[in-house]
Amino acid sequence: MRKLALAGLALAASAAFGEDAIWFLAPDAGGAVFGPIRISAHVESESTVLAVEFFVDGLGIGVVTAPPWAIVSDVGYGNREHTLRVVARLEGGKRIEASRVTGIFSVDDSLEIELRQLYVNVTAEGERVRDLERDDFRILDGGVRQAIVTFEKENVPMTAALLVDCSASMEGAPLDAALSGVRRFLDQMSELDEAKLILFSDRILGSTPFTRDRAVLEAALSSVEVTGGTAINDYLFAALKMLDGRQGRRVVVLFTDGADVHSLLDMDDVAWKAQRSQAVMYWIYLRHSGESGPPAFNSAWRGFEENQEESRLLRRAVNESGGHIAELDDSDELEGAFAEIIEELRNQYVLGYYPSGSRRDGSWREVDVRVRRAGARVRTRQGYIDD
Amino acid sequence: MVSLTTLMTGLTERALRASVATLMLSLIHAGGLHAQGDELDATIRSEYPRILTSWAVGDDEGAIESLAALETGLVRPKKVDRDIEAMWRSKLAVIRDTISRGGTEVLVPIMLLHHDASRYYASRGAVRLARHSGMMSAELAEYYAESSATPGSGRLAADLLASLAGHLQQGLVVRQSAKLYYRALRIDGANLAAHMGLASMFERRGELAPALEHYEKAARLAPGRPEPLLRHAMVAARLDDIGIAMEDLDRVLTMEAPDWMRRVALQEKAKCSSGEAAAEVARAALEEYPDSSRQAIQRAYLLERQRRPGEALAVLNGIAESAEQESERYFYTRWPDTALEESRARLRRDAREHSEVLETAVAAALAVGAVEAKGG
Repeated sequence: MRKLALAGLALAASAAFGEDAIWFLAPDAGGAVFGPIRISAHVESESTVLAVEFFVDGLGIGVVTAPPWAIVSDVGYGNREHTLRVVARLEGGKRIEASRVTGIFSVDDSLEIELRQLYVNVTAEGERVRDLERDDFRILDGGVRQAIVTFEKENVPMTAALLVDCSASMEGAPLDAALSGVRRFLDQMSELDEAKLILFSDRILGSTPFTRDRAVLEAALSSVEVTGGTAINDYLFAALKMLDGRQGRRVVVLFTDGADVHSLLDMDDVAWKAQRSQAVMYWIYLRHSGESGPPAFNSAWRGFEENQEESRLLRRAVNESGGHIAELDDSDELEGAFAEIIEELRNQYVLGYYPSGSRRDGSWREVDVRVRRAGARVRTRQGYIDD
Repeated sequence: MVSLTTLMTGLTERALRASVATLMLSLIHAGGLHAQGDELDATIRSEYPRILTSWAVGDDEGAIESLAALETGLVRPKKVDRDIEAMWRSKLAVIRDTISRGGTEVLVPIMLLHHDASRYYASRGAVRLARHSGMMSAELAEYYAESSATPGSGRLAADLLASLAGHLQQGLVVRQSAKLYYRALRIDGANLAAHMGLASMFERRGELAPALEHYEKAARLAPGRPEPLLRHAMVAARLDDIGIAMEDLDRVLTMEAPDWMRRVALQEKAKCSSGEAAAEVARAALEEYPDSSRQAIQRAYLLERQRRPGEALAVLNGIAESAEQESERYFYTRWPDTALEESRARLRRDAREHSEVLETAVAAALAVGAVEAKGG
């Protein structure tokens, strides 16, 4: 650490003698980095700085043309070194650059343990609490306090899978309202967020890859036609699994106006996956008129009680994931429900830790997050299967 | 919830026989049952034979529209039940005279006329007239089965009852539909459409034991067909009789079957299997149907359970983003209609074969003045 401080002083000294110089402000050299990180640099020069280019592990990740010389990039969750490089282009054609290598995180247990992320919502008296810092949080995993190795808040990039029920019962106003809600969600995503749309009924009616390209997402939305029944379980499983392959904060937003009728997978199968996934699930449920409890019906695939159990398991999976269920009686409320979810996602804390005491024995590990703030309410994932 | 089985126990032979007996009595004494001088009766006696003739000569649409115009015009909004009963009696009087000229075989096209009229009314929301036409058609069919000496009359009557039941089933009028299926089976215990209809009704209501029984009978009646076997397998699996289910599914997979049946059979076979066997079925199914998102999802799920997450992800990433045209599981949840369609085709063929008898009988009855407003 002493050597690094001296290096910074040396650069500053060079600049003081009128030499052009660039150096990193963040992240720290040798420190472990995970997920979305802020990379920032300082440029000292008497010439005008035209732009600063940022590279991670040899790949260009962006160009900034005005100070502050900073960018957010998702470096993933592998516990490994990363080489960061910044290149400043100065007026007159001169280029100056600096590099920095990050470290790896050491734990007592095997390094194969996956970093666990918690997306944490904190409210007090109905308002979101936004000013907490890392030290204000305490994570208990299986009753054991954990070291928080990553801490992010506000606009942490996310990857969302939006599952939209386009079954025949959605025809007309409900579909229009749902699509408006989805558009509002997409409008409020930040530059680094990406989304995948799955428009489904008892089959896929349209989908997109994970993308930040709004035109691609809009094209899928504008071409959908409602038809068929509803197969929530199959496509919810697919969404959860596909998010496994993405970096950063992972989110599923499920919108449906009915219960599962046609799926091949049971909700039990989906819950199995959800308890092993790091994704948070939100469920917007547009009730049919006069419906008070969970949908109750017989189908060719399941009996009355089995269908009720399916619905109960879906609720439990959503709550366990740290998300929530918005039950609506009117399609006019849909746009607001989508907006509320994106608002919540933009104001979450993202905490990362390597679970100590992991036994990988398939047991349920309860997670509890506490904050140092009187009267605060915390909602996050309730636990996970350790295997 | 009252089970259909319980409900049907109440629909005894006695009740069914009473219904047929009433109709027979009406046919014998119809002339004496209607109100003399009744304008409605006169109108029916004058118009109904023309409609029968029109039906017999093949003007199906014209006959049904004329019948609907006639009956709708005769039924007064505040006296629906009374007017329908009066119409019934007057029509029976005409039918009685027609039978007296052409024999009971004239009933074949007549019962189909009322079968189709029932559909016509139902599609226009005229529920009471739809019910009246349906009941009339059903009772004529039962009377025909009891009275006709023609070989196959029972089969034909059962086909008609099953067809009526099938239409009600489509409209989710479950109990009435079940009653008609049972009435069909009382006449012809080998009616495939009735067994399939009842079985699927029980299946959807979660009454799995009677569902299994009727699918089993259907499978025996149509040993070369995959649908009864597939559905039998599904119910057996729900009853945890995996051995039977697997046996059925294997047989389905060796048969010529529509794609949707084959896909469901493959999916269910994988579900009934475990470990490597399940994964292998799912792998082969995806190979056979590479564009099916559901086969991909099942394959991915099973790979995930086998702790092969990378392969699972690769499978899902291969799902096409374009819209899929159909869902095999949606097809399965429709009421089975292959046997019904066959019943209906037989009905139409039989009705066509008997249309000349009807035409001649109506003409003869008109010629001798037997069908008159105040005749009898």
